[in-house]
Amino acid sequence: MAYGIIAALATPPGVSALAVIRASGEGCARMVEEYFGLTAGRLSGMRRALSACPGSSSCGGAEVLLLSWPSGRSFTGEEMVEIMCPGSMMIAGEILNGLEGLGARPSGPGEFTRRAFLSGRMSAIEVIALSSIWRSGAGAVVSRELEDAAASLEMALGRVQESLEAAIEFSEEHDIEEEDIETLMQAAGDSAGVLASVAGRAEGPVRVFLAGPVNSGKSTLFNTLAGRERAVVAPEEGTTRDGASALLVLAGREVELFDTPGFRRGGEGDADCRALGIAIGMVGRDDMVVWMSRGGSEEPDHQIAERAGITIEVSSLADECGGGGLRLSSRTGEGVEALKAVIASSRPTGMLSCSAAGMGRHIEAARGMCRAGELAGASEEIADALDELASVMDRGTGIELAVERALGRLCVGK
Amino acid sequence: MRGFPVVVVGGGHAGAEAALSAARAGADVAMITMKRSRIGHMSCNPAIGGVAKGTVVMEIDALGGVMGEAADRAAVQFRMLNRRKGPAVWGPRVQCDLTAYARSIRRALDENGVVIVEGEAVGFDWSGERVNSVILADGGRMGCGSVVLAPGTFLGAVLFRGRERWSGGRLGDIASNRLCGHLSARGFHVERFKTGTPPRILAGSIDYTKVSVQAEEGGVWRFSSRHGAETSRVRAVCHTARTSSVTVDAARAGLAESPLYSGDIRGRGPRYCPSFEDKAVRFPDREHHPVFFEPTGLDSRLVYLNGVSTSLPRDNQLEMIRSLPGCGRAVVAVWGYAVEYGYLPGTQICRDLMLESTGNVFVAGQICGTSGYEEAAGFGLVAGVNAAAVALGRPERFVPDPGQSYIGVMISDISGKDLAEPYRLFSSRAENRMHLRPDNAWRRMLRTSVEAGISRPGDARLLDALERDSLGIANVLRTGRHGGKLLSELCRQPGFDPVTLGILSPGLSGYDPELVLSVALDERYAGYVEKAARKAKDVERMASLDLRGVADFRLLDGISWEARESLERWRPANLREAAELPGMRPSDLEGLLIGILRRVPRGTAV
Repeated sequence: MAYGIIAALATPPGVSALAVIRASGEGCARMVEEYFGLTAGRLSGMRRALSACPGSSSCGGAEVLLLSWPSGRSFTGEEMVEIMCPGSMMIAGEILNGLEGLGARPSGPGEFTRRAFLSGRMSAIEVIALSSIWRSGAGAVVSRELEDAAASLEMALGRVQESLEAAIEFSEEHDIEEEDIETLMQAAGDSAGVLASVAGRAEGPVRVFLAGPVNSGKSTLFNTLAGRERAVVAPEEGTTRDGASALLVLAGREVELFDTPGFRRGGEGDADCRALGIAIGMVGRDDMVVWMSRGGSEEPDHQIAERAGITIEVSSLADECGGGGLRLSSRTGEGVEALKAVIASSRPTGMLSCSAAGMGRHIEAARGMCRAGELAGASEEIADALDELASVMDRGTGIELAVERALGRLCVGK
Repeated sequence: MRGFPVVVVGGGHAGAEAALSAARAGADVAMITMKRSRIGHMSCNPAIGGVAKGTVVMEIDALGGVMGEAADRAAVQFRMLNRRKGPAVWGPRVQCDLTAYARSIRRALDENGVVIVEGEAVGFDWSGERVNSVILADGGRMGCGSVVLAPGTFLGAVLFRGRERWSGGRLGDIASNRLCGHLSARGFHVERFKTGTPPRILAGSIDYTKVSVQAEEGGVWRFSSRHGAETSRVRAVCHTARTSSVTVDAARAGLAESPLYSGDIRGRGPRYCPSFEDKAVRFPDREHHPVFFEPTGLDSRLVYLNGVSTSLPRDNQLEMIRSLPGCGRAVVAVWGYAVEYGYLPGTQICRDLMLESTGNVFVAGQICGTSGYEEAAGFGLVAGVNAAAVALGRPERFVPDPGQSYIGVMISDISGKDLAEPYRLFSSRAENRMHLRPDNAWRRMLRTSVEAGISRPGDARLLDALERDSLGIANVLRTGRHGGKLLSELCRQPGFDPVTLGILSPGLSGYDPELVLSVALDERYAGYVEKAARKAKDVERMASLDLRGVADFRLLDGISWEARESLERWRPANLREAAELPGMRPSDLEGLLIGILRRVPRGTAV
């Protein structure tokens, strides 16, 4: 499958000894050869070449080291080239511009990793583990732990399935006791719990965005929850223009809380558009949005609600404006604890955590089926759990979308 | 020379249904059988039905076949297997009086005008790809429009017991050696399978105080849904016991003289119906294997010892039997033996059960590689219908849909495939087993039966009523409420007993309670059935997955051993080919998918 050529800086921007630019996609070696004026084929296969920036560019003569990989043998699984150049943004920028001029496109967040996934080089579990390492550095949950948890669950589910099938097909010839099946199911349920907890650690705290129209009390709530004066609060509309964030534990659940700029419905001003854009742009599938409007007067913005994994609606400034549902007043403290509890008890939003929870539900359903004397139904539920597990252990099938979400948080070019 | 549109070779379970379905389809039929007295004989265990197999019997009944009625009439014990494991996998099974069963089959053949000819078919006169006549051992010939071959285990068969070996199709019967030779000479590929049967002992020699009674289970039911289905009112009692280390030791002691282990028998036997010596070798830690004492009839003195199939020498057999509870003085009436027989691998068999590169030869039963009476009967029925169609010059072929019937599942599992061992039907072989239930077999198949023109008189009218009532019931379930909930929702709640529906909704009181139950089960399983259909589509999409990078299929887990061995033996290039392999069940395919997707070596594009 061809996705076109992408190119991006793989090292942090800024001045350093060396910068690395990665290009990936069918034809990227030829493109790099062309840019650096190398003979065609110089970078075909797994090759190494010393070269220099073209004289026509502003950094003409700067030395570069080029490494190439053929498709199937690179990190992304596609044809790939790494360009190591002096660590100056100017030089790196010049090269990237040049490649873009030849048809490359800047890569989106996590696009290299995504390509690795799509071309079958990494499983979803590995992608998540990698993203966990990138996010938290040392102490992150590594892929080994996830794979072990997944493998134990797979084995446990397999044993349940075996015993169910034997009980169905060889009802008289074998001595499978219902208690044995129950015990095996219990073990599978425990394994799913372990996977969920490892996944939870790998995927990190849930991101909670406080969003809503201007002056709905988002920053006040942010400060209340964060327990300190972090965001600038003022009665003027639209005080918050950049988001503030804090890592918190709410009712026992670790969350990363974000304040977002408010906006006016139908607002025409530049600031309003930008505010909405920022709010929308920050929110992803794995995230939770607390939609705040005065007294619950406004429906959640549909773009934000569509993007968010979970949206919680709140009637804010309830002491002044009233409203129904979850009533909140940072001033009187009404509803704050309730909101914390809602956030803490919401389902996990991370892809793998969701999957693990889903598997747990299938196993629970299977136990119910078994108790109700529906072994074939129980077997179907276990098969569903195995399917779910397969989809996260897969390489490149069915869950591209889920991986997109996991990758949305990644730094470009990793 | 006499001639018939359809000639059926063989009078066993496949042959009988073939002859009857060909007759229902409008053909005049002759059956060639070696012994009239052995028509419809149950050569092995005295039972019909089981999980999935019992459902096949019900499908046969809906398709106008006779196995269900015959089993009902001959029944001496009813058991609904899996009674507490959910209606989707209930396994209707009866113990039969062998004589009564065979009598019913013969009566059905007579009533349907099937002409029975005693003799041995030894070959055919060919005209191009078509058989014009069947050659009999006495030199006589019988003209035919088409032929159904259903020789059971007789084709080139050899019987074994210890070091004894002799030619024979079954104890007391000669083998079809010349027919086997004729097929080989004609260029058909004949392979060999093995099966076996346990000893029969005299009922009077058993001390029944030492064994446990195996009770009937599941109340009164019938295989046949036909009005006025008869059944025997007399019951026989089955017993169970367990083997001990003495039994296992006795079996081991005979291994040196076992034809299975000496290499005398080349053919593979059924893995799911192993001989006792197989159990002793393959499960060395187990010694308490169950044994079932099954009477072979109300007037028969013979008791079939289910669970100790063996081809060991008589001495070892006796030692094994005497070690069983209540059998210290048991008298053996018939010794166990093994039979190795020829079959035609499914690669030569088309979906309509016509033999490839012939124009009018059909096959059914063990010659296709199946095992079991029910499987044989299902194949026989289909082969008979298509043989009649060919003989009568009709273009339509009857190929049941595997999504709608176990008969369809079996045929799609065999046709075009190369089996590694005798084929036994399992419920898990179906893609959609929540749909292929015993309760709805009649509803699933009756329309097919009427449309294929093989139904019994009056079935078309029954079909109208059945469909009208089913629709009516479904409507009540989808609109009626109880306690604020739709009845169809109630049906889906685990633990809800649909039997109570009649009480909950007065709208259902006018309908047949069994039909209400069946339609309620449709509602209960609707979610699963739809999901299975979706899954089947997904698998189709994945079928092109490349498998050539797999180093050793046997190392993949989550797949049955049978499937792993088959994969490693055939080394399919992609998932579609894997799906076609013998022994692959839908669950194995999914397991393979999971296993492969996870283990594809780095750098192999998927």
